Amino acid sequence: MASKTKKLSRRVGAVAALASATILLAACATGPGASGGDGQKDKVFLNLSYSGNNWQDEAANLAMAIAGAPENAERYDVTKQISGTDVQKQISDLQSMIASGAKLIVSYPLSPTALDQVMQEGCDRGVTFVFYDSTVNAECAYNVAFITGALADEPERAFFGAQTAQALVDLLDGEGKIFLNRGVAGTSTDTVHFDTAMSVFSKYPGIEIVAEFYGNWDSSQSQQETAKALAAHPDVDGVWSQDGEAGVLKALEAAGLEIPVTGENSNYFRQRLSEGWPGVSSGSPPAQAGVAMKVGLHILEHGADGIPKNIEMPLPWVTTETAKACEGTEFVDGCNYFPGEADTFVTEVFQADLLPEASLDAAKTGTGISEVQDLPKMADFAQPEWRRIYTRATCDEGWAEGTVTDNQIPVGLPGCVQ
Amino acid sequence: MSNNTLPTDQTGSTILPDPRQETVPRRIGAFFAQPVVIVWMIFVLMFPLSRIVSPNFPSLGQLESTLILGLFLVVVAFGQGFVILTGGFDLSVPQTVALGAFLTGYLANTGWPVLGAIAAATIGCAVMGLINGLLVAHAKFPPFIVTLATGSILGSVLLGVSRGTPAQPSPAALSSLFSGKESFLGVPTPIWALVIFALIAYLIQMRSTIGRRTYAVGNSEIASRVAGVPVSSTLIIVYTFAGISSGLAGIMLLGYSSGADLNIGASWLLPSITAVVVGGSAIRGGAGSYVGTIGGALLLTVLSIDLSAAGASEGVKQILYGVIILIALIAARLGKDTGAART
Repeated sequence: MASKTKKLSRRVGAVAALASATILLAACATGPGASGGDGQKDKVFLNLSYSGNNWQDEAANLAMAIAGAPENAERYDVTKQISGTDVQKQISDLQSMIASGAKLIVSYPLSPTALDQVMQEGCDRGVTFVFYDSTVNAECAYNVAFITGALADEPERAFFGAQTAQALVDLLDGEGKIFLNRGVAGTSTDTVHFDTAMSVFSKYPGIEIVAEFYGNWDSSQSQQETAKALAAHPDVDGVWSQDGEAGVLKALEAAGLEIPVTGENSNYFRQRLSEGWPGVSSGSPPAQAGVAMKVGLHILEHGADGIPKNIEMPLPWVTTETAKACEGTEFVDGCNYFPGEADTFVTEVFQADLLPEASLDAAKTGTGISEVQDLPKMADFAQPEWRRIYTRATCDEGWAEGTVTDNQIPVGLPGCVQ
Repeated sequence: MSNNTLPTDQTGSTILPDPRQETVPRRIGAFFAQPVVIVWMIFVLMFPLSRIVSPNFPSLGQLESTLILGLFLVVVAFGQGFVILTGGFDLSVPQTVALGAFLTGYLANTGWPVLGAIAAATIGCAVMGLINGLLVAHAKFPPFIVTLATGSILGSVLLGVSRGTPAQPSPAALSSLFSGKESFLGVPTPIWALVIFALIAYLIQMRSTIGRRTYAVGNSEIASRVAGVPVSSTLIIVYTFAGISSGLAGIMLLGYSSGADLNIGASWLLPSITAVVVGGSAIRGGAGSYVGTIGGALLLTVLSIDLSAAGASEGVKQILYGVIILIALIAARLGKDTGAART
């Protein structure tokens, strides 16, 4: 028995030694100044946290495609790194990037606050941080996010949650039983979407929320949760959904229902919309990452003048009437989805003003952008001060928390006032 | 521990009580005290109790949803339960499920016939299980760590291989089979899949040589070795089966969701272990019935449906879910203790 334990501990020891050697090797390989001399090309990092779904993949590809365009590739060395869902790992990855001499880090943050310290270190050393979709509170970092975004042609109508809630209410003529399909519990994105949606729903006594579940922004989980809710409420009239609406539709179809659904930008949803399904498609565009990279590289090239710290992506908006299949690989003639792509392919890879050079190819492969267009006047895309509290958790100088009654629909949401 | 109060004959050997003379109430009591029976009783009880949460319950739709949504958990819990029987855990379930879905979708999309894609994906997942089995049986590393590591590696490999297209479409035949829209003889096809799978799995775990050997190994590896049971090959086969069942769950999920990305398996690991334990299997191995596991899986599913219908907030739902699982576990423990006291 004793000899067996000795054998086991020897084996364990051997494995531990092997593991340490591997780690040391990896550390040396990515240590400061290890990659072929300094001063040749500035280092740019794209840091992902979540991965494995279409949205994250397309976002990363768009950012890499921008950074890989010939005019950028000759000046910058771009590396993509996936940190996973552990915030400690993201912090330590960011530290490594800073230590290796990064000039720009474009990232999807796991937490609005946990990265504060490492960002301060980086900012002190002159590193530019640009975060996309999910936001951070730290002052020195740039946020590019759609969460508080407004409709491009009606800039007063803001917030994905509120606008889609209003659209659903309109489709139901102000009354009916609805499901709410939320995202990942506890994230600020889910909270903002939900709170702003509820501010609309609560104004309509005829609207009854009969089930609320968390599809976790995943199509398959949304499908299962919707199926469970349908078992108890087969007479539901409409569904308000965040990402995962493709699964919601599939569950409804399996139950033989075709009721109004509002959701985000999956290909399947837009396809069904174009076939007459009542609803509205809005939500998070993967294009944000491409824009974030463009903004970051612009700052490296031309400095930070004219680039607001808080950039708001306009809210996409596609309805049953406006959903249209694209023939080729571009958003032309008002088309807004690609019939050949996977059901969960997130269609919003273009943004007419901010990312016109994007292509379907770029979103799928991370290459293929030959020329990067100049950024438009970024002040036009600055987040209005009265929405600051949603992405930075505080108001600007001279502003305080209050209820916003002007310049914004829905009226009466919490925000910043002067 | 027990005084020998049984009568003895002239030679001093104990005269054992004649089982046929055991009173009927005692035998019925012993029957109902079994964890397997308790979990099924609670499952059945969930239906009339569900009237509390919704005036539309109980209903045929509720039963159908339970069986259709419960299919995936029943399949995954078989593999996990088989591994738990041997005293291990399979933590590579999420990634193996994703592998099954990914391979099937990818191959079918590049032109393979559907059955060929399914077969190839199943073999791929079996290989994954085989690797786990070899590492556990021959390298003698703890299954917990081994499967955690292999799962992690597989997950990374899938991420790397799938660049640009993590989501795979499902072949139409698979979708129509598992989406719940089609019926055969009035019963939705996923329910038929459940019945067929459960039967085959039951035969493997409870009525085959490999099943018996698995119980032996789970009870005591040393005693099994002494008794001549081929422990290593048994372990390897068990983990291979676990890989296959995770892969099959992935294939079914691909059909149900008519598409799947790499996170398709993420939410199935803990429920697979919960279903097995609630179903009465010992967490340290050596005891447990697949019939119990099926009951556990279906109980968890109907519980989820009933809680969803209750319209409570997510926090309350999670608390209730945990409380009811605890009740099921306590009931099973009490049953076991009562049963033991009677012998």
